[in-house]
Amino acid sequence: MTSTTPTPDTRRPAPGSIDPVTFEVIRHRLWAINDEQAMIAARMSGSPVIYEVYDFNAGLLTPDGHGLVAGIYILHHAATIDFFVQRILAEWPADDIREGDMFFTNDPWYGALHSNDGILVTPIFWDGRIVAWSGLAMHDEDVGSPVPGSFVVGARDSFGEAPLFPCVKMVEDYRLRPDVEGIFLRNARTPEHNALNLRARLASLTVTHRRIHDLIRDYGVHTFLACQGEIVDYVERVVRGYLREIPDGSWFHQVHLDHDGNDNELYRIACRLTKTGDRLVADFTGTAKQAPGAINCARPALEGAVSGVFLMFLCFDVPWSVGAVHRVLEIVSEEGTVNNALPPAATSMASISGTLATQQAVANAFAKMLLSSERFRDEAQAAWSSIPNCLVLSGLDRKGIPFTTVDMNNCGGGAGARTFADGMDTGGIFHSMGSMIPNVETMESRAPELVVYRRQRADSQGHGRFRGGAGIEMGLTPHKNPEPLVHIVISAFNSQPDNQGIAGGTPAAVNYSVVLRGSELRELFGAGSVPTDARDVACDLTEVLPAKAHTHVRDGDLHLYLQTGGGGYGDPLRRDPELVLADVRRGLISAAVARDVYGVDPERPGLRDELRARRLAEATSAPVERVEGSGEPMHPVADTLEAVRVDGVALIRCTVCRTRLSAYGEDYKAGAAMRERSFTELNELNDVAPATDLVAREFYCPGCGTALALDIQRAGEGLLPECTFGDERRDP
Amino acid sequence: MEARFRIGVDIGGTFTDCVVVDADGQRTVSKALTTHESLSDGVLAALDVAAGELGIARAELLRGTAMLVHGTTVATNAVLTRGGVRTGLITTRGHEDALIIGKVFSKRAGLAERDIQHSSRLDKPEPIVPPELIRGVSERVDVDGDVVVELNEAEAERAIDELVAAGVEAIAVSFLWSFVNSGHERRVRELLAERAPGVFVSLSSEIAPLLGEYERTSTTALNAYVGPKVASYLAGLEARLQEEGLGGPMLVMQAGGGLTSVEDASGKPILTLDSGPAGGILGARHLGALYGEGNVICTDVGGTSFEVGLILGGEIPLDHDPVVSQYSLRIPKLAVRSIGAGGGSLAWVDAGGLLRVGPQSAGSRPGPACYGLGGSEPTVTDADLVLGYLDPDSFLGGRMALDRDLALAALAQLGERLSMEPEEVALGIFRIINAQMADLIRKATIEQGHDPRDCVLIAYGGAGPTHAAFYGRDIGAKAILVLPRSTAFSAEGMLTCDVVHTAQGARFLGAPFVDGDFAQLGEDFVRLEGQVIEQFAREGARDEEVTLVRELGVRYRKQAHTLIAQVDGGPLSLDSAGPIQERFERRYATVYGEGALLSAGAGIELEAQYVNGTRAVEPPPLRAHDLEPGDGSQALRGERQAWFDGFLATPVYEGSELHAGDALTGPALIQRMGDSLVVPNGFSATVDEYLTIALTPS
Repeated sequence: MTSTTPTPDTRRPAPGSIDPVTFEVIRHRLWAINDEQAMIAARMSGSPVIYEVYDFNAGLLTPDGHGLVAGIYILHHAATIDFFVQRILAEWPADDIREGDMFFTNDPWYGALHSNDGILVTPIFWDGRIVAWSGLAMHDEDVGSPVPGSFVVGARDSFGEAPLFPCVKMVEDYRLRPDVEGIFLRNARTPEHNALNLRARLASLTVTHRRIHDLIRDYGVHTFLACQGEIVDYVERVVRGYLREIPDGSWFHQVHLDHDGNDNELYRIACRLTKTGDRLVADFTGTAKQAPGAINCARPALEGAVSGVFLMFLCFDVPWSVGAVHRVLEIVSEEGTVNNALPPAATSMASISGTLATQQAVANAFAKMLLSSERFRDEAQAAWSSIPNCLVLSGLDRKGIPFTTVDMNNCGGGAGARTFADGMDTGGIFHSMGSMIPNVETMESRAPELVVYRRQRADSQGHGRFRGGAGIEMGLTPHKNPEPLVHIVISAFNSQPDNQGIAGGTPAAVNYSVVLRGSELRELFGAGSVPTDARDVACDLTEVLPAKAHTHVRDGDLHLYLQTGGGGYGDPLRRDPELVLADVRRGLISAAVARDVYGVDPERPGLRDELRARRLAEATSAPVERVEGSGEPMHPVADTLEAVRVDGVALIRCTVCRTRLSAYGEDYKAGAAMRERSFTELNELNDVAPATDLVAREFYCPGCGTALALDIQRAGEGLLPECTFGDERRDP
Repeated sequence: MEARFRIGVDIGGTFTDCVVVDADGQRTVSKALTTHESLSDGVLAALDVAAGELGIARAELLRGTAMLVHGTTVATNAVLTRGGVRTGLITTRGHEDALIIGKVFSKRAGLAERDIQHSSRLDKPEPIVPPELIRGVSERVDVDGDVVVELNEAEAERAIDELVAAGVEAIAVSFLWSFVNSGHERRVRELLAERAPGVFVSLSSEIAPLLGEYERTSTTALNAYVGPKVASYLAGLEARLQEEGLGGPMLVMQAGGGLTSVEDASGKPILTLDSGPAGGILGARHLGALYGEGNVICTDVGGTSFEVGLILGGEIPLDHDPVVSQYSLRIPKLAVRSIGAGGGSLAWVDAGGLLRVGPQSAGSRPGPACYGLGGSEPTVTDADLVLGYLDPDSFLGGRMALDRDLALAALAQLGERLSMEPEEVALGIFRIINAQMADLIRKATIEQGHDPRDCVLIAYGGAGPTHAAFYGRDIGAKAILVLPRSTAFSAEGMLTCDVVHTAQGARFLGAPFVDGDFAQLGEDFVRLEGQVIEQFAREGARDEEVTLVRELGVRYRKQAHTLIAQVDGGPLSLDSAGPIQERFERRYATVYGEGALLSAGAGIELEAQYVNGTRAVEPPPLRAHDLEPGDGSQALRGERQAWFDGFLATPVYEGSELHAGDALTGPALIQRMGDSLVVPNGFSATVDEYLTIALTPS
């Protein structure tokens, strides 16, 4: 069955009912109120995932539950707050929704990304009727289940995971209900944290309620309501205008999610993005069936992932109104799939598995779309490091007290390359510009461990004319631990690269967790030496952990961890050689990569030509037809591809050698030369990846050998679509 | 000669302001252009002007000066313009990238919402220590201060030699956990003294001895980076002033609000960051005390920025996570919030067809359209002029004529795109900028749990008097005070502050507390107090002149953010826990609400310890004038059309002719040296005994 998002019927005030200055003042105030709500929660929380990584978000919504303003924190939460409020309005008796009530859920089918991400929402009343809602979603360290941290490695369905609260009234008259809170805390391993977090949500919503009342007293309730409609209209107007400037067409991307928590199976997430006029459709048809493991996500999270990408890429200068995004965006998805799972699917890793894999598929397709707009091509970015190589540590601390903590260095990966600059090294995660990683000293005060080293990892990023940002690598060892520590790994993209490049850029390395068992680390310490590379440390056994793992780490063990870098943009052979050499000097790429990937070796001046010739020699052949003449440019397509009309014929050609790739309405990949390789050849760091049938397919201009695109896919699959443009007469 | 003068000097981006106060409290204000190439020259030029006003020679002025207080932007500018020295960093091997990684946070630290939303344009700051000048040395201390790996001296020596060979002028040393055990850092300093004499050295265990290696390293590196410049500039200025016979000490303003010696500031130059705005806030506190007002909102409206500071119960809150140029700092710094909103802020129309103002500014060249220097985009100043709030002929005391037609033309251009008349656009700009300023005040007050209705608002800076009534009304302050000499108020404020030295400790204690915890804490406080007293002694202060206050950072168990609670003097014991928890929870309930308190007896944690030592400096007297009730008619100079819900013929008064005791009702305009005070309808303006004009809704 196929379902689509209905267009929300948000009440719109008569145009011109509110003057632009009052609008600007109130808009600004609403943003400030929402941000204050988020920051109060962060200051009060006791969880490092909140106060340090900012794994939460706040939203202000219309009376019918459409997002007006979302915070700069984890974007996926923003859309799910809408979902929860709409569900309360549909299901909860209207006469039992009162001032001072607050509703809670941690159920993925009610709007939580996964069971840890409890949402608290409250109606804001004025004169006896609801004039707005506000909500706060935040991550609790542990909410129960058989596994510390509640990401349940080994679960097959939701009955093996933490208890779910579909929708409960957690607060009455601004006071927590002890009975309901009691159930919630009783099930968790971290009741102290969760109690603080509940109060953080409660206090921040209470303050928002007060602020909105002040605002209504200043401006009147009519103006306040009219302004809400105007905000959504305004954002809608801007983004529709932006979409109209992008050529009509369709762009495709797919990723695979590896390891379902039980087995290293691959789950495909396919996204076709189709833009027509000022509307956008994200179609996930072809996505794998839901998994018998905790990686699935439910529909609210799917919507969160898609609207998050939309906000990041197209709402860079307008308020983040989820309600407006929903008016121009339609999501087509089959129920029962890995990113639109039905109960009783296991979802405890949803926030960092199904949701983020969905984001990566959409973000890549979206970036390809932006590349074809002259105005917005500089907004395109290759994929950022997304899927956390998430690590949960548990055991007894230095004083012998049980602890559970989430490591959070997974927010330290590399940013995707831009069309005009490299991605930021250790730039963080795409879905939250607010997040950060903890200090090493904070980590060591939370858990009995030593961070032997932590650094930007050379060669972890994707390469290209502009490269991705480097990822983060560290080595952890237990220290002053009364008993072996439990390390729970909840990662993905260990079998295949996460952050694929765009426009011929290459993917980043895979994530990994490797444990050097019985290493000679302490002997090195004794000799006055701190190692900074696994190669400097001898050990009994090198154990590559699966993407989802639960292992004991003992004295002398050294856990090597990589949160990978960002994807690259454009053909690496077109990168400025000076930049390549500077990266080598800074230790961000190795000399071997400079030579083999970038063709830069001071001893071998003709190396780039050699490499291009070798590409074509090893690739399938394609006809070479040069179309000379400058013609009439229509729009860009990728770094070295343009749509152009020559002698009245619209076509796509290479900007380097003017070889025709395809007719305007056809996928240019059809005219490209293709070379298939094992993806492990792309990056030496991929050697630790478990064996699969995934391959890399590289597409080149048949005329000059310039790289155009690269897909990671299963060996047996046909060629993947890249992009097709619509009716050429409608070009912008 | 009797030392009868006190001098405050504030070097700003454009002007060096100087205030000389004589024994009777008579103020003389002077200004000179800031001379960026040699800042001392600008200081001496400003002193010349002041001496001229007093009818004496500069040397005579200096000989008769009991104290010269100095705030400087050298450190701030060196960071903002990347004009510091070539700096190296020695750190724990394996953690060389900490400064570059910046916790990922550095990509957005200190940026506004608008910038953070635009991910493709975010970048981490340009490194102050380039990666090739960062050296890791094998050594390791753990959370308890135990040595896990001994300092590898051979590696340390090699690192020093390489950095020296690379031409560094300063070296920062920052090891993991050095704030718990500083032995390795101190040993490296000994090696540096042997192998790199003359290189400026900063140790993280001295500059910022607190948990968090990123912030500690960043603070230490910035200190090294600006160190040689600030130190040599301060020494140079002090030497020149002493040559000319300066009669008393030269003292330096610190970011945290206290004065210190040149010697101390030269070792910790990062503490002079933003010391100018700090002067304004201290001045406002002094005035607040004079008026019996403990809660003050300080607002400084300049050409490009709007700055807000707060005084609560007579105290100025500190910003514990200050940021400069996207680098996080761990120094005591007065909480000052700033946005790009001032007279020069540009108005524009965004993609959605909405009128927006700032944060970009037209600067001083080309400046607002009405300056006639080629600016074609309308600014806040253009709007102020078109609305009649500024007199085109008396701007900057008549030294610069403003062109209303140019302002109108610029506004009309924008108006066309908005389908609005130029005057409507001007009004829109005026309202938007006032709303932005009110929002920043709200952020500094309401969002921190402070009600602006309990505060008086003090306005200064060139454009402050024009906008104060409007942003002040919007946030509901109980009174709005516009100061005389408001353009040089920060320099004046520096004369009201005390000499302050602070020491901090990083002992961590968590509930349940045991016997001995507090005894140990008490010993820590005694040790920190000793450090502070010793520093005062070096500067010649007697013990009895120094007041010491103990403070603790307190939080609920598991939380990260602490609130500050005062601790009583004397030895501590387990009985001290109760009062500390009580003070913490009272503060907590004020900030977050009663509903947010945990159940009684919930565990607390004590993180940082601070000892603040103060040697009081008697502020210069402020002469009180006799109040003579009047209506100000002697100062009336005619009328001008100005907007008050429609253009009205509005009376214009000459500020210097107003007497203490005069009271006017709005609408009215008061023309003063360097500014134009707007009294809207519905407001009355009264001149008090200190010639401050109080605006109150009537």
